[in-house]
Amino acid sequence: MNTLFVAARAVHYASAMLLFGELVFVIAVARPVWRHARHVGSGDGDDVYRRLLVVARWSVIASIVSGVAWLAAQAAVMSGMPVGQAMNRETLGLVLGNTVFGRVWMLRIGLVIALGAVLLALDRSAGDPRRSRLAIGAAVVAAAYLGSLAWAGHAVAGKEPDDFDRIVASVAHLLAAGAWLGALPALVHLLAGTHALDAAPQATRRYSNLGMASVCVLVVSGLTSAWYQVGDVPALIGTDYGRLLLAKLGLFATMLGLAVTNRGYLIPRLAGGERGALHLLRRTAVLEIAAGIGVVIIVGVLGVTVPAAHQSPVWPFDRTLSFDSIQQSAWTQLAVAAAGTVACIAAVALIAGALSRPPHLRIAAVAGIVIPGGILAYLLAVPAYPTTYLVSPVPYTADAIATGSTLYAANCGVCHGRDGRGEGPDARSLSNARANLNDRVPERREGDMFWSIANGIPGTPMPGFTSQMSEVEIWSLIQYLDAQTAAQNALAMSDRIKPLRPVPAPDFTYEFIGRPQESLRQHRGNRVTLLVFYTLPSSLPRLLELATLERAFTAAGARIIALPTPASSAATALDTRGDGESMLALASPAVATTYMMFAREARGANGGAPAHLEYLIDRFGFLRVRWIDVPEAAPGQSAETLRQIDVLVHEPPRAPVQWGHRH
Amino acid sequence: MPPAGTAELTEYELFHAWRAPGWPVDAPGVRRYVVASLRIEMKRLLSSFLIAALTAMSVSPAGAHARLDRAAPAAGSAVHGSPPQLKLWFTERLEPAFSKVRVLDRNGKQVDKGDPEVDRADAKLLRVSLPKLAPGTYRVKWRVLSVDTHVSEGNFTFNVAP
Repeated sequence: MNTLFVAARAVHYASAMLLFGELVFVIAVARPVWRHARHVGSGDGDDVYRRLLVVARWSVIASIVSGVAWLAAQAAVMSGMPVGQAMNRETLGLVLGNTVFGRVWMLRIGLVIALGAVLLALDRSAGDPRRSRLAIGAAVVAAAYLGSLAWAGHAVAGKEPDDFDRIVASVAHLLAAGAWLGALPALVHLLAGTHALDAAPQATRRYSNLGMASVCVLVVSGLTSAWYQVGDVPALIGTDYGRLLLAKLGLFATMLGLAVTNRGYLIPRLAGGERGALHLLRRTAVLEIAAGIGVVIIVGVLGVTVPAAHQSPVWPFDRTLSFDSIQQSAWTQLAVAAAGTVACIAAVALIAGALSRPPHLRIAAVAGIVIPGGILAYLLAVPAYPTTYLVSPVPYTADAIATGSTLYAANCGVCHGRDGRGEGPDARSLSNARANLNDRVPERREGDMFWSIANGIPGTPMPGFTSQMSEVEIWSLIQYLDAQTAAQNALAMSDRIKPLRPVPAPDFTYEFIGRPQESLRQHRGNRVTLLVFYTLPSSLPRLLELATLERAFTAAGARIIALPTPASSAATALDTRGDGESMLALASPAVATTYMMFAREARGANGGAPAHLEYLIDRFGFLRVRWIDVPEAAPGQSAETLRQIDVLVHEPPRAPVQWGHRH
Repeated sequence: MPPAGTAELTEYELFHAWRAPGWPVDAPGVRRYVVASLRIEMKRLLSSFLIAALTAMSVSPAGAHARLDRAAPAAGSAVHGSPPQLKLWFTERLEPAFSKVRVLDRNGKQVDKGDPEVDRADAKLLRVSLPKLAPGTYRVKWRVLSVDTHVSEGNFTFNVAP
C-alpha cells in the first residue's frame, strides 16, 4: 500500500511540475526566440503551442488520476482502514470536509478544472494575437496548482507564528523546481527539432538563465526547510529521512554539475554554430531529466517518512567527530583552528579561481582542503556507537531517578561504590582506576553511556547488562547517574543566589489537596517555585508562617509546594487565618528521596537527611537556592526568601531544561 | 566581424554584441568575450541569489508528527481521587475528525464517556470526560492525526488511588 502511495505522490508531483514548466518554457523561452528568429519558418510559433497542448493534455489526465489515488491512500492512512474500505462516502466526506489536507484537495480539484478550461481556450485560439496572454493565464493557474501542494506536505505543521514563512519557502521550492525540471522535456524537444541550430543558442541561453535563478531559490528554500526538518548532522546520517535527503542532494548536485557544464562550455560553442555541441547539449539535458525523475521519486518517499527531527538517529559508523576530544589540550585546539582556517581559505580560493586557467592553482587549493580536512578528522574523531545520538525515552523525573537508584544499588554499587567514587567492595580487584564515575559521567553523552551499560566496555572489567536490565531500566539508571552529577554540582548551592553549574530540577506530578493533578513542568516560563520538604511536628511554625504569607508569595510570582520528607507523615490541613490556595501537596515518595540527593553539603558531615529542606526553582527548571534546616521562626527568613524570588523573577531568560525530547 | 576598437567597449556591450548570431567562434579576441560573458552571468547569479536569500531570510521551523508532550493525569502517576477529565497535550496541532482517545480499565473495558474532542482554543489539546473511577490502574490508548496528515498512536497507564 505504501508503494501505491509513493507512486501516486511521485506521478502527481511530476505532472504538476511538467504542466507549470511547459507553460513557463513557452512564455519565457520558446515564444521570444521564435518571435525574433524571423527566418526560421512560417509556423509563427504555433508549433510551439501544438506541442504544449499535447503534453498538457496528458499531464492533466495523469495529474487527475494520481490525485485521486493520493486522496484514496490518504483516506486509508487517516482512518486506519484498508484502501478499499476507506473509499466510502462518510470517510471521504470527513477527509475532504474536515481536514486541512481535504480542503486543500478540493481547492486543487477546482484549480485543475480551471486549468483544463484555459488550456481548451488556448487550443481554440490559434492565430489569435492574444494567445500569449492566455498562455500567461494558464501559467498562473498551473503555478497555483503546483504551489498548493505545499499544504499537503510537512510545512503545514509547526509553530503557529511561523506558518506563513514555512509555507512561502515550500511554495517557492515547488515553483522553482517546476520551472527548471518541468521545462527540460520542452528544451530537449526544441534541440531535436529541424530548425534547432538557429534557435538553439538563444533558447538555451534563456533557459539557462531561468535555470540558474531557479537553482538559487531551490538552494535557499531547500536548506532552510532541511535545517528545521532534519536539525543536525547525526539526524542527516542516522535516520532514513536524512539519508533520503542526502540521496536527493546527490542527484541535485549531478543535475547542477550538468547545467553548469552546459552553461560554461556547450552554450558558447553552440553560439559558434557547432553541431556537435547541439547533440551533446541534448544528451546532457536527457541525463538531467533522468536525474530529475529520481529526485521526484525520492520526494514521494520523503513525504511518507517521519521527519528526521522527530526520530532517534542510529549512528552507522564507529567513529564520530566531536569537539569534546580537544577540550583538554590547548595545542590540539590551536591545531584544529589552524587546520580549519587553511581549509576555509583553500575552499574560497578554489571557488574564486574556478574561472581561471592555471591547473597548479586548482591542485594547490584542493590539497589545501583535503590535507587540513584529514588532520581535522584525525584530531576530532572519537569512538561512537549506534546509540550515541539517541535521546532518552525516559524523561528526567523523580520516579525515574528513584528507579535508577534502586537499580544502581543492585547492579553497580559493588564496583562503583555507593557514591560512584569507585570504592565498592569488588573494586579492589579491578586493575584500572576508572571505576570512579564522577569524572567520567558528566562529560559522556547519554547514548554512549547506554551502550557502555548495555554492552560493557571491552578491555575493561565493565560487563554488559542487557540480560539483567531492560532498555527502559537502563535509561532510568542513566537518569540516576545524571542526577548524581547534578548532586555534585549542588554541593556548591547555598542560601543565596550565586553562579552554579546547572542543577536541573527533576520533574514530578503532585496534587494540592482537593485539586487536579499538576506537574512541576507546567510552571516553567511562568512562576518561580518554592519547594518545601517538611517534617511534622518540627516544621509546623514555618509552615504556618508560609501559609499566612501565601498571598505575598503569589503576588511576587512564586508558588509554594509543600511535601513531607520520607520520615514524616503528611499534613492534610493547616489552621491558618489566611485564605487562598493551599500549599500542602501530595506526591509520590520518590520525590522526597530524590530531592534529598541535592542536599548533601560540601561539609560532608551530614548525619542523615535533614528534617526541613527548602529549594527555590527558577522559571527555567533549575535549582538555584537551598535552605537546610531552617531555624524556627527566624526573623527575616521570609523577607529573605521574597527578595530571592524577586531576583529570580526579574532575571533575563535562559535556555530551559531539555526534557528528553528532540526539537 | 568583431568591430575594431573592441577594447573600449564595456563588459555589457561586449557581452551583448557577442551574443548576436553569426559570430564565429575562432575570431580573434573571442576568449575575452567568453570571460566577459561569464562574469556577467556570475553577477546575475549573485543578485538573484541575494534576492532569493532575502526572501527566505525569515523562514522558520517546519515540524510534523504529533507526539505526546504531557498528560493530566500524567503517564505512570497516581492521582488521589477520580479526575473529571483526561487531558493530552501534543506537540503539533490535531485534526479533530481523526483524533481519538480511549481509557480502559484493568479488564480492557472502555470507561471514558466516549466524547473525545480537540479543544477549540488550543488545537494541541485532546480531552475526554471521565466518570467517577474506582481505584485501580487504567490504560489510555490514543491515536491522533496531525494537520500535516501524519498519524501517531501510543498508550500509557495511570493509577487512581483511594
